[in-house]
Amino acid sequence: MSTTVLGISCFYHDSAAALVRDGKIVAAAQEERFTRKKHDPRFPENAINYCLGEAYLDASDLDAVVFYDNPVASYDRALKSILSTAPASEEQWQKASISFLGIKLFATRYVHRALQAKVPVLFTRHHLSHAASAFYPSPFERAAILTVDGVGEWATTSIARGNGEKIDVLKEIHYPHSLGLLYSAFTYFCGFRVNSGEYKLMGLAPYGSPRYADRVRQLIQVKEDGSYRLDMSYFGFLDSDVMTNERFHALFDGAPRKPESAISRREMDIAASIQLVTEEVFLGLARHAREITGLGKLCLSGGVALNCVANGILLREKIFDEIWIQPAAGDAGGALGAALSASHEHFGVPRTQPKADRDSQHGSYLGPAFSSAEVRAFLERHDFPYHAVEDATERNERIASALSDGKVVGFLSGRMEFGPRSLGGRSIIGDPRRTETQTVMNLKIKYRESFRPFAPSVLAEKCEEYFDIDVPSPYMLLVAPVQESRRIATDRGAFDAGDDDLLAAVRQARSDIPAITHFDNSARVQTVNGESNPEYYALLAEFERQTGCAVLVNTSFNVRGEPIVCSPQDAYRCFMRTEMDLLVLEDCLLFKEEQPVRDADESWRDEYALD
Amino acid sequence: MRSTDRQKLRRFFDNRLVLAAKKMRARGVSFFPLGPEPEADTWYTGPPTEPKFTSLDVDECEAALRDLWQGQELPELAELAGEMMKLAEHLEVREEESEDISPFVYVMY
Repeated sequence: MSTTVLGISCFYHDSAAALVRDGKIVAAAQEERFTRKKHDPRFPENAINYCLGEAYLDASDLDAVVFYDNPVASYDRALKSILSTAPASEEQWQKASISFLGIKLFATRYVHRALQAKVPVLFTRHHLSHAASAFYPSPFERAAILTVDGVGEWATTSIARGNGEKIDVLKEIHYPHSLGLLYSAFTYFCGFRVNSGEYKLMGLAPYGSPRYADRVRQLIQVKEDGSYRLDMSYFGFLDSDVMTNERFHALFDGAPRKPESAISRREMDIAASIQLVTEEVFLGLARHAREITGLGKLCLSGGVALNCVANGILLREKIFDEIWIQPAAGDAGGALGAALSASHEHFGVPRTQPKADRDSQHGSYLGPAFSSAEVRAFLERHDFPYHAVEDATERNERIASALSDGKVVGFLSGRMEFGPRSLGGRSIIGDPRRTETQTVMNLKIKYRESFRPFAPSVLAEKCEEYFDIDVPSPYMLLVAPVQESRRIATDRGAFDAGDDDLLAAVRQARSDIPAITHFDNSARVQTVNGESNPEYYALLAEFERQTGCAVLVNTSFNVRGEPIVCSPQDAYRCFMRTEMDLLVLEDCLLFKEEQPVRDADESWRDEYALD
Repeated sequence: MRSTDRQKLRRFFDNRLVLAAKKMRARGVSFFPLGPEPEADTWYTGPPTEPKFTSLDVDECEAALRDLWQGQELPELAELAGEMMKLAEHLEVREEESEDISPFVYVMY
């Protein structure tokens, strides 16, 4: 008799569904990929349908649906937060009432209505969901678990111990004291959107100097044991619609940067400062986790675990012997954790003995795939010209050749990734040896800010030839230095003297793989092995055969503000709206110059709010 | 949100919640510290005491909230649980109707 559990996360941001059968992950996907609304928080009806379809199940086959947090506890926190500043918080009360009293407390009804079946619905705890998403798929039998995010119910940080099928949360830090909210406050202050712009702040940090670090430390005090407190007199999120208040602004030399305005040295330096302090706090928490669990392995999750710069430093500090990070570390991953947690702890499904060198996340390729027949049917229905190249060797030769000629390639292959990173399933790829690749990809393809770096995919066995990292990084969650031998001395004179022209700084080659070498000579590495994604591995190997370079630029297949593409239709649309040269849809190659003339109408850009 | 809903919520806020907040403040209730308490040895809390899994239909929420607040010795809130759930039944919306939240604040509601 098998046990099948569906996990869901929704109603805040990044709603998702995940299906687990007998403790094994079958499918997981974010709702935004189907609805094409970035960070879609709505009930994940499409993702649920996909998960059930992937497993050939009806809703009535489910043993339970598990919601990733507890709405009563979350309402308790929201209400008390409102009461703490009442009567100033009336606007918050109106919003919270619609959200909690109007929607979240009805979660069971939503499930029954959507599934049209009276499946048992369980609710678990937010940080337990995160912890479960990190521990159960990890290759560790026992491990310390650290989860850090904005807030879930009352918890903002938790330290837990995982042992076999069991997870015990040992300690927590509670709202409003939150490292995630602190980082989000600076995200807002620097003119980026909260919940999506944190990545930009991290990418901006290397351009700055941490001259504001002591002022950031005024906002967060840390004890010897890593526990911390915020000074709430600087923050606006208890009683207003923004994260910071006038006292904060005075401390950081003026008003917040207006979104889309020029980025000044102040924002660069603030980004560097909050990044530094975040790393300090993160390391303190990790040290305490090691101390109280006595375990040498660590699992990480929660939105702050997507800070791959901090993760890289944690790795190099060697506080733990091994680290495993859930690739869907944000709230979407909570769906997976909820399903895994209920499978093992509620239904008593034994955990499969982890293998030392292999996790059970399946490369995070947990979403929909499209067969060659489906792709061709789509292309033929629309009469789009394509070249079917069934022989994989020949196909890779042609793609690699285009890449080495400087072409930018949209690549859809196999199952879609679960989590915010593209890992070769839905990627835009390019030649890292060309300095111009970063600028072209940022400005003509992704339509995003020029300062943002791109990440490399590298053949796993060749990783150390390029990057100073000696562990696999299959999920692009670790930042490592580019090997010193590959670096090129650059002239930072003008930039250091105060010239804020980021584009000029970006365009300087810093290594022999300049398109993926960030301003501080770092890179967010994805190691690719032949087991989890043989197609992408073979393409990398062919690119190396042709060029001697075992690295490709890999960025998510979307434009700014758009969810990563899911289907061949999404991919074709994105391809035609940008200056990509070649589109690979499974075994079909589409060249831009052969496609029907592009519509000059640019109004499609209004579909996606800038993130 | 309909304007009648907004009015209903405002009335509840003004007539019930603000009053409850005042009463609780008067007897020294504080829901969370607003800054560091230097005298504390640690700012961690112990393991959570809530069960790992619960079931919760909307019909059970009133009792769950009342029990929670009674257990925390917050009678001012416990006695409002019934009215809150009446508001909930009135407010139940298909989420498509819900407003987008500002992109400049962390989504906590």
